[in-house]
Amino acid sequence: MAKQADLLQGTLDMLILKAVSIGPLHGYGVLLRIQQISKERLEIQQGSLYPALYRLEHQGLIDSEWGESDNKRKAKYYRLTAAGRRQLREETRKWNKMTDIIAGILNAPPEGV
Amino acid sequence: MKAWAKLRSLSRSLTRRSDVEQEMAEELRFHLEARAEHIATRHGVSHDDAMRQAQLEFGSLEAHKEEGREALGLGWVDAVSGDVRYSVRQLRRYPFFTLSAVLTLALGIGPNATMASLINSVLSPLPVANPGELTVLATTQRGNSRIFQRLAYPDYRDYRTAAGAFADLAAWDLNQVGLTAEGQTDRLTVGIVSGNYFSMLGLNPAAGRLISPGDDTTASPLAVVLGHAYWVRRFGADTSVVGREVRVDRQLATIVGVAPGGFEGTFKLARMDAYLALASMVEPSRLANRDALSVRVLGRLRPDASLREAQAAVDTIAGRLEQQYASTNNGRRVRVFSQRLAATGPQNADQFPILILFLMLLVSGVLLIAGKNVLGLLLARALHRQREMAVRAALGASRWQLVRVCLVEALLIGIVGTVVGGLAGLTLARRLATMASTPGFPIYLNVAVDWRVFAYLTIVMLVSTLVIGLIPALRASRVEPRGGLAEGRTLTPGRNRHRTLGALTVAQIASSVVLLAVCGLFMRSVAGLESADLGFEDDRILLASTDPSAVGYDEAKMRGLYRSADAALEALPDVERVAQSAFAPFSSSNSTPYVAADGNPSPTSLTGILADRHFVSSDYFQTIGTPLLRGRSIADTDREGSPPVAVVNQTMAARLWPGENAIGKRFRETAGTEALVEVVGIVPDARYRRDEMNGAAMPRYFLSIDQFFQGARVFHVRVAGRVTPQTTAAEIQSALRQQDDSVPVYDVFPLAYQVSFGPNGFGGTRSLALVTAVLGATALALALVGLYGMLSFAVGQRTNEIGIRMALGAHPGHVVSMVLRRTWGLTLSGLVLGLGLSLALGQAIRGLLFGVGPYDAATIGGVTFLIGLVSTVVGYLPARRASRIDPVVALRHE
Repeated sequence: MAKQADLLQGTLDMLILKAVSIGPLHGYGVLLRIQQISKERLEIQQGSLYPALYRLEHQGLIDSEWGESDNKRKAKYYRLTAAGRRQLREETRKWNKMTDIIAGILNAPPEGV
Repeated sequence: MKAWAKLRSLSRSLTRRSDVEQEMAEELRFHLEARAEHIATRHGVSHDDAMRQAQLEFGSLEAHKEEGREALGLGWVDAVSGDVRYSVRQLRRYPFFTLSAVLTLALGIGPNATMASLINSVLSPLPVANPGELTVLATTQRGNSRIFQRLAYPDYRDYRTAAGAFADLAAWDLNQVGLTAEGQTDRLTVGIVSGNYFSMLGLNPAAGRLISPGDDTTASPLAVVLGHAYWVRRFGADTSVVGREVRVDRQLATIVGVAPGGFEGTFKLARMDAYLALASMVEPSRLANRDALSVRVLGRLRPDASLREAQAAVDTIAGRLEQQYASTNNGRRVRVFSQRLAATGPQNADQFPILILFLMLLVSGVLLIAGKNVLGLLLARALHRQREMAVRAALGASRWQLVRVCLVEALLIGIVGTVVGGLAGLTLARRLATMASTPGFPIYLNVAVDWRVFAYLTIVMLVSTLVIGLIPALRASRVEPRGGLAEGRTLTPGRNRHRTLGALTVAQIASSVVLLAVCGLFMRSVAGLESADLGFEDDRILLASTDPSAVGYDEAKMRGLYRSADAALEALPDVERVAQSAFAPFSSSNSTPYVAADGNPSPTSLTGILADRHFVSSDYFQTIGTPLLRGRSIADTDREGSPPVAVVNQTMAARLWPGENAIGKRFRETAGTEALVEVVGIVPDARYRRDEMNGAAMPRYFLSIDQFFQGARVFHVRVAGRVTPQTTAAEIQSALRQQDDSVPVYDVFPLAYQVSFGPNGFGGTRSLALVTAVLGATALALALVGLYGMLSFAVGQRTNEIGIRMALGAHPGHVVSMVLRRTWGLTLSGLVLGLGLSLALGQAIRGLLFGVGPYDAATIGGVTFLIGLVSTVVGYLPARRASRIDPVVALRHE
């Protein structure tokens, strides 16, 4: 099981953007959704989630609004902004390119080098 | 993009800081509860256990909140505000230190604020459209170093049509008129302007319309545009005055409009009360005369043209005019100045930057000295707080954090000091500007504090704070927790520190020496001017001016009035003698035509000799106390119809008829009649103008005021020896008013006052002496405080050593002389350095001095004596304290 410490710098931000891109979520909801999408293979350190959320909001990539949770409690909901959507697309593109390259290197047969 | 979002988010967090905190707490609480619920349902544990589990998983709430604040960009804000709170607490704990630092800095900043705002109000752009494009044109004459403020009107017309680098040129001049409305007559300073003046400046009226080309013909009815301030003052900003009929010097005129608020004319040292068209106020013959320099000219550059291009274009036309009108324009050129530098007149434009630089140098010197004292205070404090720093360092503060604390403290002192000094300085600037406007010399300077002054003071504050704060900050923060906490000798500074402080003290003494020496030179200039023999007795004469033409007197009526006024004044018991003239010595009015001896071609600006012309009544020379050398004075028989006569001064006689007896000789003048004037008397060269004080007298001649009639006159009243002109002023003024109280009587003051304080007298030099004296005294006081602090500090540091010396048998007198030797060493170095600098500076300001050179023995000797004396006194205090150190106490102290 990969721990948060193993996450690459900036990866958490990307995962948060992806999580809220599907629909508005509160902080705990973000956590659950990432775990759900990763099929419980990834666990996020809870405390570091909020600084990351604030950072993204500070940068204008996500937006927040107070709303009501499923069990009728006040919760702060985050959703993606237009800038956040662009950022997510860009990050995804970069990530895929990078993994392709790295996979290509790691999988290169010794005689090919 | 992102930066913008961050800024928006930060400003939101800052303005709603408590909301942010509350929301953060609420959000985290929700998280914990949601998590606990999750755990409780999944693992079937009690709610309390689940909550504990959730809190354990989450970790430190406070730490995560802190990270959250950091993420919101609030991290540094919190850090700085923490530092500020801490510094404020520290500064309040040491009120004496804080007060001395703030006041010292304020003393240094104050003069800067005063000077900067005064200079700014002269240099700031005019409130017109694109003021940067404005230029001032002025005439020069080959072989003459003077810059003439005016152009000949025909020349102006030629430049206006031909100079392609200019979008337009406009002509204007200053004049004084009487304006009668609702039965009350005010004497106004008016702008006489060409028809395109306002449109060239791009101004819109506050009411009605402005002067237009249609007003600027001899056939147009007289139109008056009121200045905004005068309109508000006199008519209560009533817009219905537009269209009202008034009288200007008794002529019927119509108020057609009001100039925009804020616009006070195009001359920085006066405020126009009203504007009239050029053609309606100046004789057509004068405007047609190419030999008379009759108008001031403003030019607006095309947006794409530079000053250099404009000068080139003007040079081309000047060359053409020289050929075309050789009899008047040979050797005549026109120089183009930026309007800002020529704001007080183009003749000052070259000197102006030097004067500004000089004044700024002086006030910077004071700031430097004050800054050094604040630095000394902060250094002493840095030493004092090494323990505190060590504690903070031991608790994990980084070096940067320690430096930051010290810097924030210096910045707080800087801000408060700048605010205090700045406010005091700006108040002083306003006072000075109104004080400069002495009765009779309506100098008007609008001291507006705008963003430029503000920006300047902010920069001065930041730079001085950084310089002053950084050195002690670095020193205080350089701590080893262990060494700093151990009480003892490690606190004693090394030799290096002494050397830095010593060098700074020397620089401080040197700066105050420079200021004092410059002040000495100006005081010597004033003394020289005051003791100079002017050639008349200015301390016995009272002046009083009057202008009956302002209320519509014609020539015959004026002659009658003057005759009876003369008789009424002479009948007063305190009056010895009365004379009249068109203008008094050292006044701002003058008339300088060209003259040529009979037998030579008619004088022009090229062939004639420039002479100072005065119009005087019969008793003039006896009244002002100038003896006659030869011939006779102007007499009552020299009136209209009799042959024109003149009294000339020795210089004029020698210039026109070298080696001959001038009596009975005749000469011609350019201005006025072509008549030949016969010389009937010769008087010694008296000083009538400031520029005669340092050099030769000007050729000067006196015509009969009854022969060449002049309407406005200055009464010269010689009072009896038992009274002073000042005490008789009221009596004389009321005697004049009794003639006809509608006739304005103004500028009633002693002639000596006009000479000593007037702007055309010695007022400017006196002001410079006063300014440098104030700055010099401030600088000296600050330097002495600095010296005292430095010596006390040194003695304090050496308590041990001195104690040992005394224990080993050193005499107290020996200790005193040891400290005094150190004092004299510092003082001597400062003195030598300062005197060297002041000699160089004196060379640069030679043009501002009178009768004294930069190498003035009295000044140098005086400053040396003063500095030597006061520094010895200041050095003796710590020296005596050192000599009274009890060896036993000193050694036990350790």
